Amino acid sequence: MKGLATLLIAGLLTSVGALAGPLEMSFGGGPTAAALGTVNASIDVVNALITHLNETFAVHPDVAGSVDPLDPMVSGFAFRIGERIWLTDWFGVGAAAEYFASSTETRGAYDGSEVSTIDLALGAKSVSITAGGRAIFLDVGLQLAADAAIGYYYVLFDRAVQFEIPTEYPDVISAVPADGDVRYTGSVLGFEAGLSLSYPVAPWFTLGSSVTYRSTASGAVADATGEELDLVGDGTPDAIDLDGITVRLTFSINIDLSPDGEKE
Amino acid sequence: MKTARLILLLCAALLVAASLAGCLRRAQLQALFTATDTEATIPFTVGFDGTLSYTSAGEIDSYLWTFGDGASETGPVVEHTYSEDGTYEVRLIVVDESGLSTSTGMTIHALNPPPTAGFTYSPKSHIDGDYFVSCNETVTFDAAEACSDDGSIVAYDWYFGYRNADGTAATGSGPVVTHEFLHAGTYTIILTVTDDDGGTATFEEKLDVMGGPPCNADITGDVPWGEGGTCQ
Repeated sequence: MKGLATLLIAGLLTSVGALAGPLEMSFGGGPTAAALGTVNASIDVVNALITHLNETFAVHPDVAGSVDPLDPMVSGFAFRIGERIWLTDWFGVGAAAEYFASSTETRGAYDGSEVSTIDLALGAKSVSITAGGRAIFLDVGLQLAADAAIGYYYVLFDRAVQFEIPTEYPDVISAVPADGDVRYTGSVLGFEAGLSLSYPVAPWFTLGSSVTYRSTASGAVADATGEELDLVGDGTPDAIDLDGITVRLTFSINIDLSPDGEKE
Repeated sequence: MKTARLILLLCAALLVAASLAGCLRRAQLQALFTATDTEATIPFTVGFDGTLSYTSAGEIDSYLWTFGDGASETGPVVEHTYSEDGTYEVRLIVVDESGLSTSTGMTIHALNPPPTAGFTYSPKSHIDGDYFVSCNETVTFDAAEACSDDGSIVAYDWYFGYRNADGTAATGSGPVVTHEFLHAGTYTIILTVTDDDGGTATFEEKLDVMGGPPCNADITGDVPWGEGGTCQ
């Protein structure tokens, strides 16, 4: 997959020189929603465990305290830079790099014969390189366009867990999150598609917004020792998928590289 | 050109629709359970509660338990007794209303009950209720009190509480052994028994030997009575 990333970058760099058409460089960012389906499903399970402990100790005579559940990792922030070469007045190809981050955390304690702390912090980051095209299908001052791209997504997942169950808990639970502060990495392939709305403020500057759906393969992430992410602690690895929607505001600088100075 | 744009628009719309569907949270089913204990000596009865299992949609339709010893049971809360020692993988399989299933496991250690060790010895005398044996007297140690609830004792190892002149421990083996103590003193006699499952138990008792010279360095305790005959 690293080979694909190299290919994408090479394609991006060579396209500029080869085509020498109107060039658009853009940057932007905005809120993003990522499904992180397996991870969020595991967060649901961890929350069920926390709720069970809260309910158990809410009526326990010797233990006090409760822990807030984790928020799901469905939202975050994405920042993107990219460039696009316009092959015609309505179709262009280009490449972009995007950084995405989302995190969640909770902390609390049960106070019994000793203090038992539950401290969970999860963070997902990805850096993607995508290549694709944009087709303008409506241009009435405002430009409405469709985007599609394929890409390589490198994922970092940080898991910092302290999950102490008070000794007053009478039973043994089949799975609890393992303690530790571990970074997992992995990579997946995916595609993006969406709609964008652009307004050329000036010949050299365009303001735009876009809604993009991202779908990636579900890939394993592993730590330095090769052990895969297992949030619940039941021995079942959690795969990472970055499926989701990104809404972003973009600023584009248009550089006309064509010999006659106009779009072809 | 117009047709191409329409096709592209249609594709984009389809992709966005697909993405919206894909962003919906997927149903999650997770088998979780608690056990009242995971390690005890047999016969070992464990209570399992699978109501901690989680489903994000609907309800859990069925709970199937396999206990690792060939037995199985259904229901959210069950009990099982392990009658043979060993390590067992108990597994809960849950199925939700849509037919989706998942499982999780836990390791249970059913331990072999250790044997019981004990012995008597003879002959012995007493002064004011304090028992002792005499130097150079042949003392018979009998481990008839040792037993195993679930099998038999296969090894009896004795330590007579001191080391010989060559540094080796004064030991013996067998259910009934005899030994002569050559020095007065207090000896700690230790019997270790091993049953047919490999379980072990020890029993120790202090033994006063009187009538001889004081103990050497390997023998602990005072010599309360030293007016008897002379050893060696």
